[in-house]
Amino acid sequence: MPRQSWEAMRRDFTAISGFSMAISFVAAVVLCLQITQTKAAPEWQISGATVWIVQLAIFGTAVYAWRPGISLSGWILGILVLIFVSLSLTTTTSVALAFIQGDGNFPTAFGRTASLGPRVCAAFFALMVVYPLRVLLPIRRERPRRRRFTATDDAAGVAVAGGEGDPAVLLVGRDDAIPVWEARSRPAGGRGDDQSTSVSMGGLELDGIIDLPLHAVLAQVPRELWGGSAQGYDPSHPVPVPIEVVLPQLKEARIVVRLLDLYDWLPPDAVRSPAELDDGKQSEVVLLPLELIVPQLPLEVFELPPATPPAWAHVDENESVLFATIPAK
Amino acid sequence: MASINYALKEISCKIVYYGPGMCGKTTNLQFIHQHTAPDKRGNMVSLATPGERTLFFDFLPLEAAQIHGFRTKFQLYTVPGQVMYNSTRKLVLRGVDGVIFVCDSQWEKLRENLESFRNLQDNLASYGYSLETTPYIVQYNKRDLTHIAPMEYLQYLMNRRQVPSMEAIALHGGGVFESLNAICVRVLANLSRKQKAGAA
Repeated sequence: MPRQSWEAMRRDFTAISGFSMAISFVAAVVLCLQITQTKAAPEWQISGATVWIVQLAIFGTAVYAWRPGISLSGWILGILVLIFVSLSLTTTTSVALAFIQGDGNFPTAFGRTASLGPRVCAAFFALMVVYPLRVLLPIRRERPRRRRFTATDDAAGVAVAGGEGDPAVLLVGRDDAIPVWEARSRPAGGRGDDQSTSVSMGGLELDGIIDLPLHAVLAQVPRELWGGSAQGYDPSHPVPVPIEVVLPQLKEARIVVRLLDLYDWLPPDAVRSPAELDDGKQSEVVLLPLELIVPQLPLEVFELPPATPPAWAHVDENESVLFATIPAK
Repeated sequence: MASINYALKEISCKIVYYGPGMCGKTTNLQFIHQHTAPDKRGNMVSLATPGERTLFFDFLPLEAAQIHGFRTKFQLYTVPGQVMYNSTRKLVLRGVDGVIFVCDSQWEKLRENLESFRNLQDNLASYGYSLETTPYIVQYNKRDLTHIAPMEYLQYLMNRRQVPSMEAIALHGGGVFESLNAICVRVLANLSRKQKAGAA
């Protein structure tokens, strides 16, 4: 089993999960026994093939609903586990039935427990038994398509412009501090249109994505917004952040994204889906760790264009002011 | 503003250490106080809270070697970095001749550096000063810590005008006198330039 699954099991497969699985299993066996011993014959007959098809459909739907974005192998694995548990329930019920009847005739007992009523019961209880194990199912890994782009001079200009205040510092005034999601919605030609957000500096060719470890991103998300699988992933699972989101905000010494945008970059169910959140939570912003972003950028990004120094800056560098210092002890 | 007393042959200039809270402004002054000859400095006046936060401001009078026969005195001030003490910061800036902007190099303080720099500009503007006419240098302090931003990014953030800047470890004195010297030279040169312009 991969390391990720073991870690997921360690964190999410708690004692309560194991206890609920055991209780569900025992309850299923007891109920199946009760149904098997019911004398009333079913009023309708369904072929075995139909039962199998319906059962597979239910299992398949359940597995998919549990893990949105599940991989094909994970989906098949989930269905097989459900079938296995379902058959285990039927077999255990058969053994118990043969023991209760005292004849030890297992094939006959199995024939009775494999009938429609107990089988449907076993199938639904299999869902209950397997549910805590859903975190172990592998998910499909989707990454935004990597692309390379070369910045235009205009884009570089936008990236370093510090607002209308002092040009000496890359500070943005309140009006200039446009979050990137607002900038995107500005009309073309404006200061924050799409062209200006697809930025880089000085004609550098940059990779289109910055990978951040999942744990560092989740640490910035309020705990109540974490999804069911948040702790099921490898903490170092890469979260791809588009570079055009990062570059325009570097001058603000913080990278902020809206939770809705972040949702698209995170693995499935790591945070609660936007549909589950009210409007206030949807507009919540998340601070991305600058200390993990900046080191991934080439230093050329931070090169400043030549500046004309103020008049006071012109001094003879050989001159100095002497202070009567005493040597350090 | 700097004053020149021709009768006493004395020049007096005011240098202000500016920057966000806990960035090391007082530490700069303390190091200077501890490492200058006692007869060339006055007492350091410091009003701090029990948590070592500057409550009002720190003040250290300092005398440099004679320049062209003039005794040169520098009055070193720090401002309280905490956001709520802006009126005090503004007061300290009155008549400033040069500024050492002390940045905290730690990642989590970068935003505070920016906000403090904007605050410096606003407060200077309230007196009709600007950084185009007031000499200043940028000191990147706490370079000995591990969780710090690279110099390239700090320069990108804080020093677009590309004025003199230097790394410092004020606690151990690294870069402290270098910063002081750099600003003093520029303040005196600026004063000289103004005098010449006035005479012309």
